[in-house]
Amino acid sequence: MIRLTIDGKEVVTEEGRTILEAARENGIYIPTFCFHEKLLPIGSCRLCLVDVDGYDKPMTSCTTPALDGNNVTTQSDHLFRMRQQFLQLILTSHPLDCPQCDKGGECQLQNISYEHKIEKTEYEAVRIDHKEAYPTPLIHYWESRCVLCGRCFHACREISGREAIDIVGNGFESRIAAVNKDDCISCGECLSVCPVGALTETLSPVKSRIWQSERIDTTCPHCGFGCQLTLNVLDGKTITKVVTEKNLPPNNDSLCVRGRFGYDFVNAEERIGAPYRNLDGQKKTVSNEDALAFTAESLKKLSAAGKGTGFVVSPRATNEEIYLVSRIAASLNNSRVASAASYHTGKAAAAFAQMGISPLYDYEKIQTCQTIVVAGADLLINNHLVANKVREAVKLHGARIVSIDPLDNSLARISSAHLQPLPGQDAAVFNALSGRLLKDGRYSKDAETLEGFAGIKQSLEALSAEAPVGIDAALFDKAYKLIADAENVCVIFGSGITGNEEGLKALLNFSILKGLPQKGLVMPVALQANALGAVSLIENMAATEELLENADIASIFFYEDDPFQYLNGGMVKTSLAAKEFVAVCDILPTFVMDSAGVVVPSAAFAEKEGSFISGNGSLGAVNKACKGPSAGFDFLNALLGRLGKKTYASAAAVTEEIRLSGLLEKDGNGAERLAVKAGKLSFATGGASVPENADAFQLIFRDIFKNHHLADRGIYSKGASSVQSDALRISPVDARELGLSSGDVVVLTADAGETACPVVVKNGIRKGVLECVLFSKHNEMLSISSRMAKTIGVTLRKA
Amino acid sequence: MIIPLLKGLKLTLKVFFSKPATIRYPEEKRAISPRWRGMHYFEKNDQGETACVACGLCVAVCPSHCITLEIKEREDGTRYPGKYEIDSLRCVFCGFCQEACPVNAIKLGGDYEFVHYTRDDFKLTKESLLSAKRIG
Repeated sequence: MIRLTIDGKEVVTEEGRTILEAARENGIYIPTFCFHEKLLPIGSCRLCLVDVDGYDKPMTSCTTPALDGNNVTTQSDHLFRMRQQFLQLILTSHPLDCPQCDKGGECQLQNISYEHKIEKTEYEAVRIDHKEAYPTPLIHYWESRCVLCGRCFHACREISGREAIDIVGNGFESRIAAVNKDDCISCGECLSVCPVGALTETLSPVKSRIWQSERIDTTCPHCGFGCQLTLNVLDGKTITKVVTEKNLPPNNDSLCVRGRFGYDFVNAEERIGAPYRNLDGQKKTVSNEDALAFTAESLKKLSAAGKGTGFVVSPRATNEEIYLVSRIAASLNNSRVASAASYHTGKAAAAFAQMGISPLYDYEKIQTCQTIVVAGADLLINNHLVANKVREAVKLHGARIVSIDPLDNSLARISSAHLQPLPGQDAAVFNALSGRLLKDGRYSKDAETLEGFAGIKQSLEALSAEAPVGIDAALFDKAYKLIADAENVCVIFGSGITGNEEGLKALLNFSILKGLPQKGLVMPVALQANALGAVSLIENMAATEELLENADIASIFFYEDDPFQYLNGGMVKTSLAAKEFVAVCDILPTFVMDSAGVVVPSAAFAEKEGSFISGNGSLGAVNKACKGPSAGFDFLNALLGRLGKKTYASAAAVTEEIRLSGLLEKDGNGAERLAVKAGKLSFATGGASVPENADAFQLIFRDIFKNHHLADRGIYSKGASSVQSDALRISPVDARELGLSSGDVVVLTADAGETACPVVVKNGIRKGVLECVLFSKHNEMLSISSRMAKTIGVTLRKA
Repeated sequence: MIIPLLKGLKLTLKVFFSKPATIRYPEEKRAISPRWRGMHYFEKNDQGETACVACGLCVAVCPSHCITLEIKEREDGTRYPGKYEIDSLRCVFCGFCQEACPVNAIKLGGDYEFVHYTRDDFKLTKESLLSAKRIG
């Protein structure tokens, strides 16, 4: 602790803080412009000048460390005049187009100019707008408005770990420009830190000024990280942009492309407006009342006849809606509820429960880990914010990363070791790591007392503790050393691991052996916004294809879900044709609607009231930003009434009932989260089979669930579609062997069919592996395999 | 009794031959003051479109909250009002919108003849503001 005097006030601060930080902690105001709390000090605007005794000239308080005994003056006429002059210099090349500028009314330059009593610009300079394209089409760069504070390219590097933009040119020619266009991930971090209107989003055709808009906080509906964002709404109906300004955890104002730009589907023209029935291939619009009566009657009739009813509920629906679906299912005979959450989150949650590991975790614990293992997960595609936290741990706390992934991923470039096992070989890698920990005696001693330790010890000793076949031994040794030396280790795993039960068990055994549940962190990535909510609320959850293939299930109700997005379309179509009654409730046209007897509209996230349970178990509120009824919830509620059950007054009443059922609890800070009964830690048994590699290639689907509701059938989110596309990627080694180059069309063949698509050669992919990123071609790609899997064996030939 | 009658007749005759205080509205119209604040209209730009850049300052300043604006952006980033509506029945004709406008697009003209059959007709839209009379 050090003591210094600021404006005559004695303040105490920690060593290493800057004068600005010391002043802010103690409520002393120093004007700043380029300084941003999330970024390292930039020091370009010179507005935070302060006089420090012992220095001849004023110092920038944001970059000057506070020293013991400093005497600092923050306000004086002299400093005020200097700040005025620096502001005049900033304003020299800033146009007065505030009426046309997005930031007008919430612009820091406006505020600070007003504060410094600047009424006219003293200097003039001619500035040419180079009109260069910004790396992402979602953001417009207004060169003339840019004051070159440097926040944007600092954010690009420090928050997103990218190097897409930089300052180019000199003097009046200086501007922000793309230096590496391909590195841009359209996260919009630059947009959110820009203090003026130099960067504006181009997505919404309708704009609204701050005084016209309402700002509603809600939880992001895309992945399960639980980002808090604020919707800027005009007239209670049009979302004009997403803003982040309140520094709410867990994302602290950062978002990914889907969070920041994936909102426009709410205002899409294609939204299902009224219920309709498919009669003899014709769509016949019916009233809400008719649709409800028809659905209720059909369900009741089939249930009374002793036939089964299936419900498929989206893991992006709110807890309240999922709860209503489960209530409806409970009122019918032989009913089952399925969800796409069962593929990843369901498996992870079941394994956690079986082995007594708590699924709750705190993202901030990543910062305490010295080694972070990322297995089978591309955090750029999903949970980009976790990648940001990992990067923060690397940047600020010197953590090291071990990537275990046959493909290239967003963290591979900063990984200390990148192991590339074949799909299905993860179990061998983790068993080898565990085996070596046992051999060297560097495992957590607490593990010895746990159930199954003797068994696991015996089975691991029988296996080799050396690097599995095909993995570089030196790299494996390096990875092992990083893990063994670290006191706290964080393991983040994705659907690449949960797709293979042995791999998942081996990973969790390894985590328990290293003592992670207590000292470190083991976390699955969270694919969908409310996947954990769906897993927790639905008892005996089925996988979607189980219901489709089950001949006893005669009627099926899809709630905001489209199985064509993740299952073989042909198979789904055939199964649905055999059902007696199919109903769909969704917001946008989907493929499953073609097979439905009745279609009713639902509400988008911005029109709902409710909650999501994010991947770490915390409860995020979904608030209504757009006025009007919440169609899906109201339909479910009314349907419940028709089936002779109690209906609810509002979504809040449902939340209350969920609360009473004991599913939620309060954590130490009073925030609500999932209630979990702590089980007893134990090891799982399971060997490691050698992966079959009969097929020439293993095709890995990158997150299939990524764009649910953004790309069903048509592409409804311009924001998401302008920066994403389908891609099939191949390693340079395989490409050379097959004589392929980027753009060549190849034919992929698997057990159920074949499809042709262009291929892209990409570095960083393991030999023998193909990476498939799905965006809009789900149908074509998924139809080649008969089973739902993350990885399928394919053969490949040049078309 | 006859005296008051004659007095009255005198006044009648005096007024009968003097200039009348009233005018024959609507055939005749009174000149308006240059500061008169009548019905709103839009100034046009060179292309004949509204000069409004949809800054929303009129919306912010309007004391009776009678202006609805939907801001639209063109490809090049310039802006125009997608929807601009003044509820003239709520308007108090204070002229603050004219004063706030940075591009002198919205103005209060001299027109005061404003009669309609339905309430909806009293909503001034972008189109009606562009075709509005510019008296004064």
